[in-house]
Amino acid sequence: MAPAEFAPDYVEETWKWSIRTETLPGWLYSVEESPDLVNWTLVPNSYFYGNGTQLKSYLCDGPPPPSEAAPTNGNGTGTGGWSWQVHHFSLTLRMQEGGASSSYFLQRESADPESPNAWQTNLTETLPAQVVGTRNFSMLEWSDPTTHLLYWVDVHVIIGTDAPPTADPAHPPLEADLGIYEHIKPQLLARLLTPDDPNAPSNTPSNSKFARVRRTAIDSNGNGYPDWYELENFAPGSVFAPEGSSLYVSGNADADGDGFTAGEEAAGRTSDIDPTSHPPAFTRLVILRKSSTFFSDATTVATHTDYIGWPVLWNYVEFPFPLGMILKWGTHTTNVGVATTPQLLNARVLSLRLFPGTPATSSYLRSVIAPVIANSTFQHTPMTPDRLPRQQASVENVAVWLEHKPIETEPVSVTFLLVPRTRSGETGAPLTGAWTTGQIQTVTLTVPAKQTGQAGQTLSATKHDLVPEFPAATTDTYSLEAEMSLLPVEFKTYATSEAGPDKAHKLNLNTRQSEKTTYGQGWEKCVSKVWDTNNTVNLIDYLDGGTGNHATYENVVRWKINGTAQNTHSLSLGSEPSDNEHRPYYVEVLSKTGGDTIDRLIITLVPRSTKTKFDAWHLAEKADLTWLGQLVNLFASFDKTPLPDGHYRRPDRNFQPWLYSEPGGHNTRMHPDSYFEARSYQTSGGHGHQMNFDQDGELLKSGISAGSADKAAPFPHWIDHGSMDVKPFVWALQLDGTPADQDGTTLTEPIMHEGANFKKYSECRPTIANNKPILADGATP
Amino acid sequence: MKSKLSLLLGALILVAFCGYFFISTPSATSKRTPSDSQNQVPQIASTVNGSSQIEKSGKPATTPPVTIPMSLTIGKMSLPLVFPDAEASPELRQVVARDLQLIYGHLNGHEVVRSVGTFPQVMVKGQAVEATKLLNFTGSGRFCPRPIDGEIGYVGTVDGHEGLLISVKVVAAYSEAIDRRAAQPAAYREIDHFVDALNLLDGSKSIEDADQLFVVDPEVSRQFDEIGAKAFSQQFAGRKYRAPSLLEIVDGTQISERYKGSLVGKLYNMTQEGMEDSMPPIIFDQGRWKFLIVSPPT
Repeated sequence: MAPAEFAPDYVEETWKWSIRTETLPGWLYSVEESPDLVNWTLVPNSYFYGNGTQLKSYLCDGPPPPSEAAPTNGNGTGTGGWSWQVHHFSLTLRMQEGGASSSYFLQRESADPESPNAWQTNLTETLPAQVVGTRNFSMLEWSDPTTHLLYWVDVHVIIGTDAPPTADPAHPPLEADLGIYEHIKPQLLARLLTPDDPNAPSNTPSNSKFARVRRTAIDSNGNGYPDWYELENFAPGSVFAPEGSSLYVSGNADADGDGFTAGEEAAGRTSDIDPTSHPPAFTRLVILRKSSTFFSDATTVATHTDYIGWPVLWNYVEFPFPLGMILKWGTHTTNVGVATTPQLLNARVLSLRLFPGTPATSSYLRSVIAPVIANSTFQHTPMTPDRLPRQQASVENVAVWLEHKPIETEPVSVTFLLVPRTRSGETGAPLTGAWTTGQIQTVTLTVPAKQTGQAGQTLSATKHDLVPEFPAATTDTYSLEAEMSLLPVEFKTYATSEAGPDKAHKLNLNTRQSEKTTYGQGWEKCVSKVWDTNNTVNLIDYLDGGTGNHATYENVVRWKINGTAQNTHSLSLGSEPSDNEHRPYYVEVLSKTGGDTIDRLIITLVPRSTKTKFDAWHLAEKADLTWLGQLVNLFASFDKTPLPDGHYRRPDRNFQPWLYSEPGGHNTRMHPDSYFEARSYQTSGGHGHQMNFDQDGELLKSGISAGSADKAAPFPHWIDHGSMDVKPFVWALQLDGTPADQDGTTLTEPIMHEGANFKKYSECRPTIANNKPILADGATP
Repeated sequence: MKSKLSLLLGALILVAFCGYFFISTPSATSKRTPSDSQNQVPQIASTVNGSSQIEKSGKPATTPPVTIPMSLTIGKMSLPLVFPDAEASPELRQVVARDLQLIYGHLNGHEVVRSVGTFPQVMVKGQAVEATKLLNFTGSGRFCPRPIDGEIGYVGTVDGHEGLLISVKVVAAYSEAIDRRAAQPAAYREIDHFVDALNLLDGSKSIEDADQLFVVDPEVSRQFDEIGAKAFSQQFAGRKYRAPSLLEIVDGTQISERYKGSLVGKLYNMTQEGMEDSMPPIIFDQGRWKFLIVSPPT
């Protein structure tokens, strides 16, 4: 990996044409391709975007001009003296208000040893501010005297700076509509691919827009490379490719042995093949205490700041209230350093950014770090010399170790946890003022509901910006990127098709059983959990984004279980629930800083036998469904008007013998919206059928309120019906998350989620059991 | 000698069997409840499923009290029970010991689980005893009554010996159950008779009169009548029944307001694989226990 250079790796000894625009503050929106490009082939896998990166590559691979010799092979490479021409190339630039003067120019790049990287600049043109319109470039009769036949047109667009977007009714900022970066990715990719869509109108790129993309630490597939880097450097699709996929690229290797993985090098814009090139910023200070008495008070710390070894500037975002001053203040229980060294247990990690060479550190160290340490409990941490800081070969009582992490892996996600997913400066979180390097600005964040429970609360924050010597690679504004890593405080739910256990679902019933009222306001999520001997769950794992981010959430959330506050993030599940029963845990998540409950989840704990029995039952029953063919016809409706004696007219009254017992009223949580029920008489095999009707007397043909086939007709096989038909039904409901047990003829609580396990039950106990026609009320045989 | 004993035993069984299902006071149909059990004359000796001779109140029992080991034996493990001070009378302790053995005694093992959690301290001999282990009892048919769900299995150390901690919540649950028993002692006496008779139920000589064995809910009376008591009762024969826990004998409102004032309970069916709980509920009706046949749940 050589991520130090972000320009594409051009083929040696080729000529390339490119159109570049540079340093365009504001916004760029579209590139309109020249009709002359019909003879140029878009290079496969050449769709990229981002700051200073290639957007498209066009290969001159068309038929040679008539006056020239043909290329020697189909790839357009070979020898010959023919010339090539591009009459013009249109570039449409749309800028927003606020853009400064810039230039863009058509360039010709040569890798000729005679004139390496000689760029033709004669087509440079200054672009005035606030340009909206089409700029046409003409490349008339350009003759290439060399023997190189591979031509490229690289359309480079350097995305503008982070000037705040302003409204442009004709071309509204795409970014503002897209929300967080994850939302941008797929849409932006789709947008960029659109011009190449064979079904799209040709040369109509006016609909195309380029979004401003900021680089973040987000690593969707966890391979060590941030997404932006993968999007810029690897094949399309690699950013989402899981490990094992052909597109997967591992960024966890450390090729040059400098202690930084390829992904970290990429994020830091340094080389992974040069051990002297690595991210220069020490972004994490690990203070390890080796003595139980040394850092006992602030004064002691203050007098030993020399142990830190160099002046640093604390670059941090400071939230006086309610988020606290320290961005990240947690306990690492896993290896926080090089994998081959002993684990650093219980290391306190201060996620503050350190930048060498600035003098303003000591006073801040005294005022901020000392109280933190004084109020913290440290445990002994084994240290080995190779883990000591590079600048600090030995220490007596305090070891300071700077963990090398690139700036992008330093999201302020912990502190900003309670602010919305969207970035500052965008929907829901407007920035006031602009970020200016070297200055201290004030940010105002508006916090919506569901993130903190403090809807509309405005938090003031002070940001100490980055020091200028940090090696910015292009035009990114790092200071804002932290806000890209915001995490929600809400319980993650899954689609109904994803079966529990361990998959939370939302309440999806609204029947006469009054589900919402019964469970209460806000209790609309449930998840089943199968008990095991590990009998604890980390509640953070149920949060959206919580898995793998325990330390992050531990700092900002607290819990209530069954209405009682608890101090830990672990829920002890006690002993295993009884067979066929469940034990509910009503979980509320709240902010540590106070406020109302943010989200609620009901954990339905079931015994192991529930899952094993249900799976075995489903497997066995699905293997033989022939008995369903014995079941009698269903009736589409019945007359719900009672007769004078209070009975109902049978829908099968013209059959002799009758097929079903007399219909009767029906009200059970097991079939929540069924109003009437009729059961068939048993078949020769002892099976039965259940018809459920709605309040109008119409047959319910699907869903949980509908009747179902009975392997054992309850009359006379009441006991077998209970074990073969009823118990599996309740198991399915519990595994779908419903916190209920069978309670006589009903359930202890309403069904909360009609889910995938119920669907599995229905496969074996269907409502419409066979191909026999559904008969009309009063039909004759 | 052996044959004489067999004959005697057979005669006793026949008496028990016939006595419960056939030699019964003719009564009006019992397809509706509540029963008149509340009007039964209270008996002095109340039982825990017909066995214990000691009442919570400490009244003199009709027979000498039986010494019940204050421990729970599951498989090869036997743990003494550790009761909280003051709350549990000696009589109550014996009731608890017997009932827990009924609930868990058929299980065959245990596993130590990772987290003890937040089991409240138990004050024993003036000392606060903490739970140091949590045992999960294993085997087929794990049915713990809901009032003490999650309460049993915590182990603490008293005087250097480990014991099974009985929480105040468990004591309270049994105390309430004993009060219920005191209100209708006849019903509790009859449970073991009922179970014994059920275990001898012969499918070929099954019940002709529905009132002998069933209380049929009006909602399903027509379906029941169409089948007939004889055919319906076939499924109850040839099974091995287990009596309910004292905590599982509750007021009929647990099933429906229609059965308010009547005691109801649940029986278990012992199978080769273990134990099942798919039986219909039982109800004490007109001086005897019967199955309550209600509308099937689904």
